[in-house]
Amino acid sequence: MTKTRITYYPVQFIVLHPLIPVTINTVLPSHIVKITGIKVVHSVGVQNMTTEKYLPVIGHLSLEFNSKQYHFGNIEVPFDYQAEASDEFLDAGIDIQRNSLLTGNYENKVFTGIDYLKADGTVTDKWSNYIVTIYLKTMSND
Amino acid sequence: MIRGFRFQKVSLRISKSGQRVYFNTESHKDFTQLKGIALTVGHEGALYGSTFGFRIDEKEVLDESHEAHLLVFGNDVAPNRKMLLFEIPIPINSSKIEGIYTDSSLQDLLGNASYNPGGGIISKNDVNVKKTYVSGKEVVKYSNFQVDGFQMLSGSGFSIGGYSVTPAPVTVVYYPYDVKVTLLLTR
Repeated sequence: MTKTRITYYPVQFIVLHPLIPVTINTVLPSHIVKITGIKVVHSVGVQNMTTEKYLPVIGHLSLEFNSKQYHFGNIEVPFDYQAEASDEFLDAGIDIQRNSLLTGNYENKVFTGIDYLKADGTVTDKWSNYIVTIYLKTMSND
Repeated sequence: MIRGFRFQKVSLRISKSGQRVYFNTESHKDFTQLKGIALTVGHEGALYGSTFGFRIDEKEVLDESHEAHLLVFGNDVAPNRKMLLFEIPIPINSSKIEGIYTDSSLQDLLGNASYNPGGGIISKNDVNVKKTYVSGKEVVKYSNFQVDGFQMLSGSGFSIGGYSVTPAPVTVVYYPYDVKVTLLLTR
């Protein structure tokens, strides 16, 4: 008999340009049957562009589940390089259809000035690519 | 008399940038549930971009790309605030416990421009090396590995990987540093 258990499933994406949105489009594994929590964190990269340890919003993430049938909403993504950073998940209760898509868009909101962006639209050497991770707390039946 | 809970600990030593450290051990025989997990890392600069994967009886609990800083408590954070507590405890019965700590594994991905102009999802194949759990081909035997303070012999399953990455230039990390894995077991 298959028993359902909690697992934590990360989805990582990279941001390569301050003004170009990142499109998220990936199939969730078939063993995930429900999502009970969501947390979005900055992983690495932004620390190369600032000496601050905390920025409340570096970008906005819009997330959709079940192949765009369910819009979870817009999430503000902070940059938090402190050990006491919150480790809470946003509550969710989304039943996941088998082999459905996780989709969405991420828009960067920081480091968009002339120090980071040339007139021709290319980035300067002060810009650093960065990685954001979406953590899904899931019920899995694998 | 045995108390109702126990903190089982595993100590790892990271000696160089990009090292992958694998361990396996067995859960204490007198306890039947795993309720939480936490890490302590000896060097704060090493926290970000390092990852920790975790399995019980060969069933994945934390993906190999799970970030270490989400599991770490330090001087200003009490263990019970930062420990990842499982709402549904994981049943154990002298279970096989495996973990993989990878130093600065995510920094290596920052220079990857093989995505759309703005970026995109990072392939699981780029972040995970799940075959490490089963093949052990990419790992090297290493003896400095402790469970609950007892030194384990060489060949007991502690291993270090061979690939290296370059950390971000402003992230200064001093090697070696120690990582302690704390498991909260209950009866």
